[in-house]
Amino acid sequence: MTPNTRSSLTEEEYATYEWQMWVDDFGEAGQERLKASSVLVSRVGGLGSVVAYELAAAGVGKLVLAHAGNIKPSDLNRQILMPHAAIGTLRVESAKRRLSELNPRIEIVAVNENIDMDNAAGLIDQVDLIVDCAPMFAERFAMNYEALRQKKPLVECAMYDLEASLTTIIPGQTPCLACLYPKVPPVWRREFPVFGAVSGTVGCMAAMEAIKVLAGFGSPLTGIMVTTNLREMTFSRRKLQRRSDCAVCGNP
Amino acid sequence: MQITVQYEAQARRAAGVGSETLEVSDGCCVSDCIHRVADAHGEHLRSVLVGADGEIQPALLVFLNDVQIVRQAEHILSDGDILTLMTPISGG
Repeated sequence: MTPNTRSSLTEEEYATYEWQMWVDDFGEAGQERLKASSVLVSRVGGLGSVVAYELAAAGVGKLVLAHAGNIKPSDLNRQILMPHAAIGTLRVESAKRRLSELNPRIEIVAVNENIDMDNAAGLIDQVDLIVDCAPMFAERFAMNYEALRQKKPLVECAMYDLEASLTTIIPGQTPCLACLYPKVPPVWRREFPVFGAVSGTVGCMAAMEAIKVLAGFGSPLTGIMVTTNLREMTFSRRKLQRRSDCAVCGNP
Repeated sequence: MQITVQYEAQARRAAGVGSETLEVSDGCCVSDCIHRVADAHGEHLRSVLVGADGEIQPALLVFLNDVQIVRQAEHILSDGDILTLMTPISGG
């Protein structure tokens, strides 16, 4: 595959992304769409590190990384953008540095904040799609609310122990996060059992969902939740229902 | 008739099993079944399935044969059904 005269891709980009452009229904047009796309990854922990890594490797043109705080030793079993030598320094700065080493052709914006109702609108306004990797439901609900308001797709991924779940929310078409959880779940806690290989598995799947939605190919998990149990290596696909009385996306 | 109840995420840990087979009577609805397993497994599972008000936790994800059920009392179980109870997860 060689660059045609109308392509926005440079010779170097052709060389870098050549093997993924061999995917039939992706091709050069898909790569150009990724290059022109932008994604917010909220947070860059065990899950978001891998999402951001795969999106950077695939050539998404702009990544906005939102995650507050400094690297702790207990981050290092799963947050693969955080090196041991950087303990005590900002997570997003390490993430930006590592991703820039991996792919210097893309723009990376590091935001030392977690998502909340005050900053969600401004951060989501900068991007085409959001990948939600937040460990707290308050952050997830803030992203869900603002993604729906701005009509932007939201890839929802989460894990616990050796289990994980994934779905893609398309505003106006699919159930939203509040259709799944109409109230903040009372039993969830910020600290949870996690292997990096589990968060990494669902992180790769979430990155693939984002790539499919941005490039317009394949069948994203719209209205479908995939759950996996890596203890038993089982996967399930389940149909989600939109709530007509949903406080966020339902009829007024 | 027999149905299978599957537990996922924290519900699995609280139940102590991944799934179990239950004998239920004709006319048993999904919400009846959730209350029954909550009563049978003790306080840990009860606390993740049922609120202090005795109502099923609104954030509990309930699937009947892999389709989400929003109004549990409206769905009557049939022989061979698979009921999945999944507590919300948010690990990132």
